[in-house]
Amino acid sequence: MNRRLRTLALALAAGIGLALLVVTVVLPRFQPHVFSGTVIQSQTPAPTVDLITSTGERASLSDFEDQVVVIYFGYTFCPDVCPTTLSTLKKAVDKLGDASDDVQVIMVSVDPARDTPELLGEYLGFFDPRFLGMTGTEAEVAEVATVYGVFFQAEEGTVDTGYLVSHTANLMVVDREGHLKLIIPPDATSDQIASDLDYLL
Amino acid sequence: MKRYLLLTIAVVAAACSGGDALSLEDPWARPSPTGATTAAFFMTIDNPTDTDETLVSAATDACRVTELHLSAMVDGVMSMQRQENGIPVPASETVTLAPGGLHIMCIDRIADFAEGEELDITLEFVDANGDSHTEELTAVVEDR
Repeated sequence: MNRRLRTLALALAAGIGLALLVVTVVLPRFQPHVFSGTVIQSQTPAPTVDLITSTGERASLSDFEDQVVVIYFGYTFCPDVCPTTLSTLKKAVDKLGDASDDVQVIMVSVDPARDTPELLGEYLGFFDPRFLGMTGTEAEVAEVATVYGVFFQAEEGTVDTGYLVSHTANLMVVDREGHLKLIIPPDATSDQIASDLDYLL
Repeated sequence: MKRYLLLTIAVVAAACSGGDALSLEDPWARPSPTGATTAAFFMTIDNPTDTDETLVSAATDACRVTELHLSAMVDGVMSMQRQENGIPVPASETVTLAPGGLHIMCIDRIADFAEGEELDITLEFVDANGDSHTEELTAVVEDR
């Protein structure tokens, strides 16, 4: 009787152990990825971004074929939100390890009057030398922003303090096939961004 | 029993009357990218007193100009709003200056906002009685 009880207890323990393993390790692998960003089901390729890069040459989105491209609209005079987002992006990209070679982060300047390609390169290089800046004439930048549904507007400033630019602060993610796939809000954590990018890779 | 009641009243009274001074906790700034001329300071301001306070200005040798700002998301657009009337810190409340929200904006930074640097700031407060006082603090530069 005693032995039978022990066997029963052992079987029960083994059963519970197995159930725990299934719930914590096996099941999550079969669950669909939940994006932290908003998924866009675009049938057509993402609108092209054809601007001057921080390395001085002209580039367009098609130059990053087969890579996941994260496009952020920001500017170097931005004191709070842009450095916060870029720092989070850097942490997210680092979490991807070697796979991060297939991710290209691009910051399109919403302040082309002040952000020269050189300044953009210097600024973004601080976060990650692989981050690329893009800028152009006011009209070129406005065109790109418009097709991506991005709003930007220089606010009234003073000679003393300069002006600030209000801008849409979302991250636009273009998948390997060149389709706009995700819009990630600026308050996403580096873990959430890394998880979304990892899934797209 | 009576003694306990008196003790309870004393404890509750002590808790309600609050502390006697503002406390400024965890002041910090993000490392500034090369080429960037701006930066931002963050901290938590706790007002345990019975008197409303307002942060009216900040000064530091680390920046040519400082302004009190709020980064606010309106219809998906991030914009900065200068807090012309200062940042209110009501009695018995805590106000947090944090990325994506309230902050002290540094324009034309002079100091090197490099990881580990310590930068002195002086904050000026005006209380509900119109009395002004300053608080000195040291912000640490670190990536968070």
